[in-house]
Amino acid sequence: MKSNALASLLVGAVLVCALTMAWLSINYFFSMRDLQKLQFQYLSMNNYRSAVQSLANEAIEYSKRNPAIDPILYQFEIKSRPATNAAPPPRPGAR
Amino acid sequence: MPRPLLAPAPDSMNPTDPQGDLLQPRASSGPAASVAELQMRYEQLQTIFIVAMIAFVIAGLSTCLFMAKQWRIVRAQVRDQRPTVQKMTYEYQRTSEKLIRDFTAELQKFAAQNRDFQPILERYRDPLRPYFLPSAPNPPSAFPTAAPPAQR
Repeated sequence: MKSNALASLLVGAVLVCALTMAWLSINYFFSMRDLQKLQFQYLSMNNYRSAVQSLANEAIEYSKRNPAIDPILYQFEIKSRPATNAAPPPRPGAR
Repeated sequence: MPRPLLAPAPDSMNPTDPQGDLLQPRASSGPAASVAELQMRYEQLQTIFIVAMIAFVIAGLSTCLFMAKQWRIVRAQVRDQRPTVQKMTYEYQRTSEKLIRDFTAELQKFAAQNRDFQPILERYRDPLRPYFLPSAPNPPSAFPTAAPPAQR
């Protein structure tokens, strides 16, 4: 009889373990999904940024052959405007 | 050589099988002996069952502990990264996204007039697909989680 009680107790412990495991697995799954979503967002932003940066670099290279693209590059401050020889006008309050 | 009269006669008539008598049911084992043997086997089986259950409990507890630790690590990572990524996403949507869209739109306009720039732009159509929307005045957010990719 003592063995039967011990066996029942152990079966109950196994059942509790299995239920706890299922609960932990579900929580782990949802947390992992959240983490993957965050990482995907972060990677997407980085990928877009690096793609645009690469496109800008190619546009700069292209501008060496065709300067007609320069206004776009100046507009988005991808390429610095060429320095002018004329001195900047003096500020009104400057001495 | 004659066999002595008081010597026990072999049960089997096959003299080449010396262990044949071991396989035969013993004449002396009655119902009480069978019950005792069954009892012994039952107790052995019960012991094995209990040992197996103890092993299951130990394995289950260990796995539970491992899983709980992993869950806590992942939950902490999510809690740490969520505000940062949300802030980055907000900043990205507020500043970079508009710049990228305007820049690609300008380049598309330029490529329409300068065909030699078209191949360069085409190489970036796939990586920047959400920003290559066809001449819509105010396209929806191009962030991949918020908007589906544009259809050609």
